[in-house]
Amino acid sequence: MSALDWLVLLGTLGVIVGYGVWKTRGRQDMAGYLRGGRQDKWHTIGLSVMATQASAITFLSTPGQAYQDGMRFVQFYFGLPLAMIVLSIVFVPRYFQLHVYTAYEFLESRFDLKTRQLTAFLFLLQRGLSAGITIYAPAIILSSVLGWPLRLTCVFMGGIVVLYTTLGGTRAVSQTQKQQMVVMLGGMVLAFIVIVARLPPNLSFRNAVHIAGSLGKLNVVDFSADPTRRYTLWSGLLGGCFLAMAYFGTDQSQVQRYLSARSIAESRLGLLFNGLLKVPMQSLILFVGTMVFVFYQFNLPPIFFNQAELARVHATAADGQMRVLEQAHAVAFEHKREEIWRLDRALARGDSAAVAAAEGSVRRAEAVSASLREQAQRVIASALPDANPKEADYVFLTFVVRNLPRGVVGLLLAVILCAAMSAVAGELSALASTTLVDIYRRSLRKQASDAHYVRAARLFTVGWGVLAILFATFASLIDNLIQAVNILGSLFYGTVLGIFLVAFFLRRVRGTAVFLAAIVSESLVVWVFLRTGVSFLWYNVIGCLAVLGLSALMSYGRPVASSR
Amino acid sequence: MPDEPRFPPVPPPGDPAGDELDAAPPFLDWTGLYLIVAAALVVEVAAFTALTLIYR
Repeated sequence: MSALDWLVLLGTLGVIVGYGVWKTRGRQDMAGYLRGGRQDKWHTIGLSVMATQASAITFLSTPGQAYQDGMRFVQFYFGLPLAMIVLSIVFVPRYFQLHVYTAYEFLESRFDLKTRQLTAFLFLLQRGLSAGITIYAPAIILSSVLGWPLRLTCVFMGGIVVLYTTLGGTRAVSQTQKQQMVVMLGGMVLAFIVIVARLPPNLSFRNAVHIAGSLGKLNVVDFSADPTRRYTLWSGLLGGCFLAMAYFGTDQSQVQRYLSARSIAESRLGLLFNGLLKVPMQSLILFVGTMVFVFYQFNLPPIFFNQAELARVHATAADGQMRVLEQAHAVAFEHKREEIWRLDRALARGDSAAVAAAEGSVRRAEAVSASLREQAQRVIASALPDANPKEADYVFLTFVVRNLPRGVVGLLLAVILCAAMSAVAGELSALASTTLVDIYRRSLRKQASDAHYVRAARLFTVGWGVLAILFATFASLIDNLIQAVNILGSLFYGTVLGIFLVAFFLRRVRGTAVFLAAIVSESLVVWVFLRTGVSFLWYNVIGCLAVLGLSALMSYGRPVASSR
Repeated sequence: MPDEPRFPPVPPPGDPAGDELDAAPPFLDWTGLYLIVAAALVVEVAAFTALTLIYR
């Protein structure tokens, strides 16, 4: 990495963190520390909500996903705008009405302490573990591609976040997230422009898109009703809507963002802003990956994008086998490139018969290349049983480092680090708030001064931060745990959403009924996960509807709850 | 704590919290904004469907 890249990277991070610390300097009371003093306007809320959701993996993996599988992943976000409308109408007014610090506080006022603490516990468990992964996942990729020391990268990223989150609380998180999101969006727009400029000069943009389409990268919408298919229009709209309602409506790392709005109106506008921008933003990131794919139709891609693993294979007995595959891959690439230029010329002539014939040849040539890449992956898996055979996470960063100009590389690394830091900051702040409000102040130390609670919140932020960094530092030793944590999150969301929807809409239901319904529903979701091939987006629908149905059934004939 | 059905209190008329609940957005009205978000989604899904059908 050049000196200019380091300057852009460290300058961008330094300015953002410095601004966040400066903007939130001075003494803060508990409301200021946990809710940002309710000063934020809608654009800060909107950008902050987006930044909390966008982790580094969003920018590292998503373009790689488009490179390999096309843009169909965007369907995952189709339900999000609908969820933002529901949250604005149903969730936001109720949280503001009760002046709560955390989403779980609401549940005690509606049900009882055990329901509040069950949901708070599930949040702490899942978010506490995933904060470490949010640091570890990009650090492993950055260290592999750039040669940065893994543990130092984890400590550097985590340490900066702990510093400004502890000093400035929620307001520092929102303020830095606003700047970070601007860098992320601006960086991806710039990346798109630079990638398109790097395509062959005699290739029109229209033909570049056609080439991507001919090779299946623009098959976005899948109308299949098969519940085992991961991304379809229906799972995206319905499952995605339930998932987004659960995540944005009941996960404290998001609820805390819009509770810091200066009014309900600003909070609602921030969520709607997120609903309006999310699908275009994800489409842009996926389209960047599609253009990287087109770039590599004219420039020889590596046979395997994780270069560190490839180098390890070359140091084994499988070296000869891999070299043969690499040579065959290069020959197949040259042939495919010729066929693609033939397609380009046919498109320029407007000769539809020639276009159809060239498309067929290009697809056959791509199938040969794909087969060689699969063989290479099999060789890697057999030569290095501990190697990660998935390369999607490495596509974009490898492309950036090898092909983009100096300065732009630094900016895109800043995008990735900003994304990691914004997501971790949101998580740490929410973990500290929940520990303080739902556990410490509710059950351990009920009557203390504001200053005491601010000190405690700072201590909890540092504590969760240190835990996250430790988890990230040693995560490579516990790979199976990482997978378990990722699965854990998607298993609980539907049930927790169901509890909140019962609280809002089923006035006959009491605390014990919803508590029992939640336990039975969660068992059902776990059974579906273990025994069926149903895609994870549907778990949110199943868990939520089961809680609603069982709660209603158990409370049939009981009197309606009254306002207290 | 007894297991009684409860519902959080609704702010009485004149309470600032109640007024805030009804606050209008700085532009358009809430229904209009919700329709814009939903319409944008419809346009996006339609555009992606068209793209899919073109390159199927």
